[in-house]
Amino acid sequence: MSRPILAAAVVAATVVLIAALYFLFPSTTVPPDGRRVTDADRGEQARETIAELRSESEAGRPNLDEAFARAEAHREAGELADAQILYFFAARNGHAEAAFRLATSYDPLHHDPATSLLDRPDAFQAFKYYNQALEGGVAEAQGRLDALHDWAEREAYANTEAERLLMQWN
Amino acid sequence: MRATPFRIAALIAVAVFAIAADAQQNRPLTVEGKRALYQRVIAVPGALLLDAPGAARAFAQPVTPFTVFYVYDRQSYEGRSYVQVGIDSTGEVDGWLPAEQAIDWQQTLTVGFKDPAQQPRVLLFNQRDALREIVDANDAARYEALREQAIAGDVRDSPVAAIQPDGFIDIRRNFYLVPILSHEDVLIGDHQGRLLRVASVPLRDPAPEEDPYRAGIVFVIDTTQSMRPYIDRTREIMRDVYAQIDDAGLSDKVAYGLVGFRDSTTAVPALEYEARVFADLTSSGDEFLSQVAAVDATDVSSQGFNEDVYAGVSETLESINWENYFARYIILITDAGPRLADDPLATTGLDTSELAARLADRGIALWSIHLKTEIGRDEHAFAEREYRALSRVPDIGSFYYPIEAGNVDDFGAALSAMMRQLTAQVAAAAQGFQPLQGTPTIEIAEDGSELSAFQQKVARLGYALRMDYLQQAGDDDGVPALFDAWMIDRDFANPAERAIDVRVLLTRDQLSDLHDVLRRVVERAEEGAIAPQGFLDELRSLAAIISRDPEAVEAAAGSGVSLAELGYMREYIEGLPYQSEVMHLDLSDWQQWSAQQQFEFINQLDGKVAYYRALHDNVDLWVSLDGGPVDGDSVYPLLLEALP
Repeated sequence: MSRPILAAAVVAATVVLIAALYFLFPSTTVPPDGRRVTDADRGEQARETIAELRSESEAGRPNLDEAFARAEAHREAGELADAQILYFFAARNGHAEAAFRLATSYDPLHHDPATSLLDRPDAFQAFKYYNQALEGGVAEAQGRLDALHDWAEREAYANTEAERLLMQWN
Repeated sequence: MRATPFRIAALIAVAVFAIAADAQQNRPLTVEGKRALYQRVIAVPGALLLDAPGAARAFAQPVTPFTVFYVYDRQSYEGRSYVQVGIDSTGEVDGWLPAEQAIDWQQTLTVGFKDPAQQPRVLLFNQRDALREIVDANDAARYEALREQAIAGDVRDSPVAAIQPDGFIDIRRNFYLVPILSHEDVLIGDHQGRLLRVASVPLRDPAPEEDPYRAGIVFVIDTTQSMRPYIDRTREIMRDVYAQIDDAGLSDKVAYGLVGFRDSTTAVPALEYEARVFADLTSSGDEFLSQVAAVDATDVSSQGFNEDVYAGVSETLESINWENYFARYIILITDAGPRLADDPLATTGLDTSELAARLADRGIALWSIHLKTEIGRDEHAFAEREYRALSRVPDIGSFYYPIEAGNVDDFGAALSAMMRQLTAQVAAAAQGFQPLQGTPTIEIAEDGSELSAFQQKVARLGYALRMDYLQQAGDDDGVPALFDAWMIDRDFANPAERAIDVRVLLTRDQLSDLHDVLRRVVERAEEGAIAPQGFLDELRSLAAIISRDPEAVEAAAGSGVSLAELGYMREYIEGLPYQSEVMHLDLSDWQQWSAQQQFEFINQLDGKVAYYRALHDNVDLWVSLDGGPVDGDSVYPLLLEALP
């Protein structure tokens, strides 16, 4: 084999190898915390779903029940980034059950790392979404808010987050 | 000349222009390089407000120590610098301070002390280098030894000027100021800390006497015929007050006296006296209560409804020995109007203004409780005018409190509340507050009532937290009224925890501005979590809309992009001893972030937006430095970490 042909073969092999790696580990990048991020981490499926729902609805209201149903399916499948984005999208547009799901995932009394995208609970987000759920007709949210209030009162002495949360009830 | 529509329009335009120009001229000066941060100064103890640069001191008004002013102008006059100041940013100026009586306080940072029961007391050093040496050598043992020495009051060979007061005062409930004038980063143990230069006032009085702060309170009570129920009620209240004072361990810090007055004995000899001291300030609690038991209203009628009230006040000035009392109060209780100088039955020959001047000379604050009983109705307006003038304290207002219809229960409730407040002030002073203007440690109802308005005046201003100053040997000048000191924000005993909080004094308008900007950022970030591709452009265009620094936004159009680089809230965070993580996150690869990272970012900002809103709406937390109702210039000491 002549040298130019050998060189071309090496280049071609390299390209194929890179392509294979890209296929196996699609569009990875290094975010601020240094961990590799995948499409699944970014919730790309959810974003595509949202783009579809938005284009289908055109100027009207997107189908939020569909967004919620997809979020539930992603959650069942352990695809937490997709689930979070779709719950968030639906809740932001007024879907009460999606708000309740988000609130639960943030609630310090119900937070489960296995089903929540966020590593830590966030009492204010729980408060915010329980209120939204309650306004949207999810009666169960009232009990959760009461429990959250009790939690904040108990914790306020040593926990700034709880102390600040209490101000939301004033 | 007929006013044509054109002329009218022109006149309106000129007027509008003039008003606009005037408003423009009367804005406070901004901090160099900032467009929305106003220059602030703090008045030192003994500061005098002048009408103009170089004006005579005789006409100067004393300023409450540590009053925070906005700066409107700076001028030199005969080689001396002066600062024109106003209490708020609305354009109204109060006068001029000599520059050396106004401490520049650009970043409005202040210290919040923690509970000494939870955290060892902080030391204040008289020289930066002495503290820096200990910090650089990480010499925890030396710091601890100095603390023990300071607590014991032993200052031999010690570079420590003062120590944090022993009692705990929560800055969020009882506002005080220990302004931070400059700061530098240091390592304390393995932790990043800060060395702070602060301005403070000493706990011990500059006067050489050993006596701590003491308050003398003398009741001057009308003992004429109609007053019996009020005298009885005062007696009952004083019994409770003494019990409170004993319980609080303050018996040696406050003393009470009582002077009774009636009317001219020349006109009606059966009245027995014009004024009589029943208890002076030297009496013990038991003595006071037994002496007060002897006070009774006369059954003899005096001539007319006005009484010789000023004889009682004058007797209190002359016969009571006020010398050992730093805080001096007279509480005048009467249902009558006073006899003024031109009244033939007046024994003092004093008018209200003359008597008020004598009170001011002796440093005595007089509170008037005016019982507006039905029988004296015709004299109410006259009496109110005189008592308001007699009770006036410059810059604070009049300590005049009317009791409508002379209702005995209302009188009792008001007097009890005032006594509780005075007791609280004494307690606060004992814990380290500036005397006379101590912030009360009791709740004041914000119900807009006369009583709450009165109590607000009592509580007003004087926010300097006094440090336990250690008199140095050979310190011939005595204790200074104000001193600079150096301290560290972490303690060697537990460097992982902050020993003090650094707080930034934000106005309500500033917090509102922060809230609005941050909310708009959150809205864009939320959309950016759903559809990330347009987020950066959205953020840039928002920055261009709201930024006060378009050049910075343009400059940030290049490589790294963070909220700080885009100019968001830069004025609030630049130069602070705190690096905001969220403001400096590089957002240029936002599209590549995981959803988790994006939501963490959004939630962090969203939580702050909610906190700012709650804080803004909770008016009880805000302090009006001008003593008025809560408005845009009212302040709150926000934890540095609570900034974006």
